[in-house]
Amino acid sequence: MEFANPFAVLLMGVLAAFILYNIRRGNLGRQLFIREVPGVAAIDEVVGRAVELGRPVLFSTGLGGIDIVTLQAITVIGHVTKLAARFRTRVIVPTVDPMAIPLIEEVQREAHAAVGAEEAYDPADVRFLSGEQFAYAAGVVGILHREKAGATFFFGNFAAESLVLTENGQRVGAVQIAASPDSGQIPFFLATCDYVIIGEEYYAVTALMSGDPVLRGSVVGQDYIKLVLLGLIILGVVLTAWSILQAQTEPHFLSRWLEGAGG
Amino acid sequence: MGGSYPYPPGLGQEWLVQHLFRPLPGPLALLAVFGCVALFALWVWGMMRLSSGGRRRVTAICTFLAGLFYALAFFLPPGNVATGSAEIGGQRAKFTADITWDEIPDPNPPAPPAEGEEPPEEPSWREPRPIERNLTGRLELTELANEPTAQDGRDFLTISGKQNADGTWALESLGPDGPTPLVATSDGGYAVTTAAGTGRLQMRVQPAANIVKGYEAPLANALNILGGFAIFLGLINLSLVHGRTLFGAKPGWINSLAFFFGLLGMIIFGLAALKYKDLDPTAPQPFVAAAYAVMFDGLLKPLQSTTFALLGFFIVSAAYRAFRVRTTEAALMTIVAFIVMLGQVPLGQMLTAWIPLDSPWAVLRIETVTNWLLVTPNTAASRGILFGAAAGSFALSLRVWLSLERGAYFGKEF
Repeated sequence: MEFANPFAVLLMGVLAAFILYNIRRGNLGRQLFIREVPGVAAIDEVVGRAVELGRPVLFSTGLGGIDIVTLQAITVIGHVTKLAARFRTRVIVPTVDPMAIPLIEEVQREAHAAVGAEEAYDPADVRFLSGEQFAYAAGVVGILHREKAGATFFFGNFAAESLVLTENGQRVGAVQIAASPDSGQIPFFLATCDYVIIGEEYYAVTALMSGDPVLRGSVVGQDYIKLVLLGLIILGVVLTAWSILQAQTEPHFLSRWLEGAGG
Repeated sequence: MGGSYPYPPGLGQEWLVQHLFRPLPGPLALLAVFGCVALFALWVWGMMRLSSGGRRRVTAICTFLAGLFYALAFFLPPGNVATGSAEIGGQRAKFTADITWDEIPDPNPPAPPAEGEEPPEEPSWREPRPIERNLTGRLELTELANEPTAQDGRDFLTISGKQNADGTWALESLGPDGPTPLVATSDGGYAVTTAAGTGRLQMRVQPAANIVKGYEAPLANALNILGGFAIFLGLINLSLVHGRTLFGAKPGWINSLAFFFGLLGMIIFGLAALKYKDLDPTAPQPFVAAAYAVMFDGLLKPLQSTTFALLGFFIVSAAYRAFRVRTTEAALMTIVAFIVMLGQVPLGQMLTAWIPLDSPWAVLRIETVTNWLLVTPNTAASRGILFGAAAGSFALSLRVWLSLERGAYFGKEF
């Protein structure tokens, strides 16, 4: 879609309004309910296990560049680093995009400072490996085996290398959490990881971890968005069925609006 | 200039494309590269000098401006439409027109290759071809209150034209007497003469593309260049990590030594081999070109393929772990996976091949069941995940754009 038509403008406006309205509700102190996600609840436990074993944590952000998926992963890195830094446990972050290095370094530095563990911060824990998919995978596997990671986090966009990474994580005995908004690699993660965070849960991680009202409001807003989309789907099904029953040759109004939304 | 570049006149985009985003010759190119590196270093230095809060504010402002740019590029209407009205011979008419972008033919096109000769290689950069904004529309000369009575040459009048470099339009009508130029009037309209009489046409043309869209491509180029510089960050990072291991004689130092050999080898041979890139690959290769080919084609590519090939073994072990029947869900998944696997191979398809295709029981043929499983429940579940992820992505994008996100660089800390 290159340009928005009036329907797309209206839809996006409504969806944004739902998010902002719920963020405001959260800020006003309303108790907004979000269900627990086992994978998120297990983050503390997984980091704790690495601490007990005296092994580092490995956090991979996948193959994505600096996009919205990676930004979410970087926010989670901050939280995981804070948990681990309290017990002077390293969080190694191999990355595929050199542009992410300063961002992750800053997040890790601030996480260490937040728990008074500045001396434990090591910039060498953020490592650019390669921009090539399988060179990156080989590099991560090497780190997993050399450092004997006690816990691994795979948050971001992954492709065929996902299984290579998580199977090797299994081999070194790491407790593994994988999270991806893309459904393509979910089956592999389900087969090899202890906890998997899928689809929209990926974007709810920070809200669940922090309990921040802004983030919780935003997640509740997502539910409203889904209701709107569900309503549109049901309306589309009904209208299409009605058109077929009436043998109408002209597309119904929703179809015309949505076609126009394609620019 | 005979036509306009694919940007509305007067926005400066043409200037950017012609002067800034174009290859520079010899020493100027080198100067431009060093200038960009200096600017990049200055920006990084400036950011490092700022306090954490200052960096966050700068990031928030840049993020907001970038988000606003893309939002405007998406939400502002494209404008390749002209609408208007006319009063001709006492009748009111409405006018609608489409606007197209047409490339002006090259006055000196390259000669086609001779018989048996290979076409010349496409250059990596080409001067943007001038593009003309053309209009073709129809004046529907119908009294709005009445039903239309189609009479060619009276009720419908085709109007076409080109946009001048100053943004005005040169229009002509294609009536039964041939093309007739429309005369621009002082009120911004045009005088029209038709078989039905004379009148005035008022036309409103939306901005070309939209005012922001034209900057998207140059901006994407700039981001690519910025990304190119980031590789130096990666190289510095790698060199620091491996330098520490190597010079500290830490365990695994031999791997770090291999890294430096690989890095230097690739840089030296890669740059030296550039001189021979047009050499016939079947002819004897000079040492540097052969060394680069060995490192890249003989070492890097096979190693990457080997890592990829490991996937086959890992799939087996992962499948074993996934299909151990310990819960109801695992049992269900195993049964479904078994059916899908059988449906994909000829041996499995043979099991139900005895069911005639035209019988009502044909739906029980294993390939039909497999197809249904893949297309119906699988697609439904995938789309469900997709919808949720899209909603989450939208919400997160909004939070990042408006600096409502938490964590370093985004806003306040957790």
